[in-house]
Amino acid sequence: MSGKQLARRALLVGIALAAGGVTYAWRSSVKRRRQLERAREVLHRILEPAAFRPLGAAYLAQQPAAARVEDLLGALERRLATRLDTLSDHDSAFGQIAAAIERDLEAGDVVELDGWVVAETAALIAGLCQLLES
Amino acid sequence: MLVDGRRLPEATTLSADIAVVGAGAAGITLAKRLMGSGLKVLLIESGGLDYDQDAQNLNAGENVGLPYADLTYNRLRFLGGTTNHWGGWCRPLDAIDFEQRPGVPYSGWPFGREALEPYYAIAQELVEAGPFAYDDEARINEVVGGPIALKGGNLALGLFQYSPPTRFGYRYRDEMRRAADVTVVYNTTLLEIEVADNAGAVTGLRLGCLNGRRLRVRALRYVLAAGGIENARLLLASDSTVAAGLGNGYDLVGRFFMEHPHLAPARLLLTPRDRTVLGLLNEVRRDGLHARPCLRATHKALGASNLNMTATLSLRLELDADGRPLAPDHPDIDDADEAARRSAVARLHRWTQGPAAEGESLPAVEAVMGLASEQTPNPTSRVTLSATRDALGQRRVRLDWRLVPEDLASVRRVLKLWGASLARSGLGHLRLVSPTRDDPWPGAIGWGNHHMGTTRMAADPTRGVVNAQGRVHGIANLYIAGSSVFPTAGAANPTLTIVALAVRLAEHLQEAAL
Repeated sequence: MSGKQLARRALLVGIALAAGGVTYAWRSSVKRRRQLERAREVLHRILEPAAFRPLGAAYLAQQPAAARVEDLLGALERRLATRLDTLSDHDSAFGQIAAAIERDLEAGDVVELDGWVVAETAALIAGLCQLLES
Repeated sequence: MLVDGRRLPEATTLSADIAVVGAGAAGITLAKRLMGSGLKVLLIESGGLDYDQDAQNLNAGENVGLPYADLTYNRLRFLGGTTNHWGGWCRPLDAIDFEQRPGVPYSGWPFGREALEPYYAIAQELVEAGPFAYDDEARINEVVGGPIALKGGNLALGLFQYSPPTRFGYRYRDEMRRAADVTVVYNTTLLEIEVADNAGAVTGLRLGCLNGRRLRVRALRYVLAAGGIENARLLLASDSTVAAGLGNGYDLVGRFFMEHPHLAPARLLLTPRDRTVLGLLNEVRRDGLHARPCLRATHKALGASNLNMTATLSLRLELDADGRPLAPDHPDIDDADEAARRSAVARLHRWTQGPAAEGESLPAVEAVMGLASEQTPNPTSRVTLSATRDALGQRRVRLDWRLVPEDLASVRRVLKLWGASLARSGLGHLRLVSPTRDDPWPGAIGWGNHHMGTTRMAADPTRGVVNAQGRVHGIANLYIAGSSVFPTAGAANPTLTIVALAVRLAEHLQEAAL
């Protein structure tokens, strides 16, 4: 194969990869947006997110870097040991969160938000409320 | 018998089997417990039978450490001593207070709490605080109004019990006046403890009165019971034979001065479904028991390095313009942001209590936490002698009270554990308010007027001034009574323990005399 043919093939591969990447990123972005939207819906179903924003603001102020909603959601889901958007039923969502908070309190996994001693899970929820509602 | 030392002939020598210096809680307890023992007791009081400003002025001293109470007035110098303005708060030390904790430097008593149990029971009678019910579950439930389940094991409930308060001087004066074997010599101040040339034994006491009279005492045994600051002062001032003062071979006298730092470090938003929890705010007077509940740290919470603390809760009320209490989430309380955060916390609380029923509104009551904490025994926190002199020519006291950053760090660690326990138990949420991490150390800290540690107790003479019986190491017949012997302070008010130790010492002195 000549050098020209090689260059052309590389260019085509590059274009295909780039297109694939864009498609993947677009799909990921859509998926993430849907996840966040569903998480927002879940939070709205089980609490009044606006009421938690003041605590959430205190939590975010403690974060060393600008906290991203995906990071908080990931951290929360690790504590819940499940994806938030799968908790469609109010009682199961309530139960999962209550269990995670209980585990936190038992382990002493608490943070201080403007002085309030709250479970890590509760702090993450408050932080998430602040980001999702702002 | 009560004798005004100012009216005795000049250079009188008083004799006794046991001479006790200081007629406060410890000294009067010793005198009472030795009545009828066959031993002749001389109880020497610097002040009079009632308050007298000239005697009180002998207390004046310098504060060169943390901001602290005026030393002229936070101790009282007349019969009954500081019990004359005692608040009456009683609670024994906890078992952990006697233990050596690897993370608490210089901690540990030479005996355990169990060694004091029988004496605490007698002390309880002397301070007239009713039944000994501090950690009695049934009594706690009675005071609170029902059982409260605390989860997590970091927090337990106990009681503070109140003495009427017993003013020892007034309460036991007639008994001492009538006693044939107790002589109270008042208006008479110890100037120097005289010792044999090798300083191995006390040979006498040199006393002075504000009218210029000078007296002497000869006894077989001597007890200093002059208070947590004065005991050290008297040992240091007795320097005619040994320049460093008595019992000070290892430079320990006056060091390790401890207080109970007092803080209002937190507020507790009680959002209970079961209103029994509101009983934590109770103060009950019933059937001879006057008590209020306290929160106390458990062994688990304290571990090897946290300092002990006890807390009481008081209702926090803010009133509107018409004098009606505001609800805790009322927007007029503090600022709007604070009210919003409080409201959010109240909502968070539902996860520890189960979902609210339709239309259910959880009651919310905010309580202020008042906390008394132990401080780390610290050799740089100390009592020394000042260059200035009092009306009797004695060097005044110089107090350098110090805390270390760990003292506050420990409070914050334990409070976080308590916060988790309270939330987990569904009782409420804790908010740490002061001092915060950003406040300058140690900030606005209070105290209990509890003076401890300056003649600390240890079996090893290199670590303490007195041995397990309260005898000064290296001096055969000199003892110390009072909170100056506490090697660690715990978080309970000291009077009950002072009295219990004095009862124990009285027993030892009787045995030693046989």
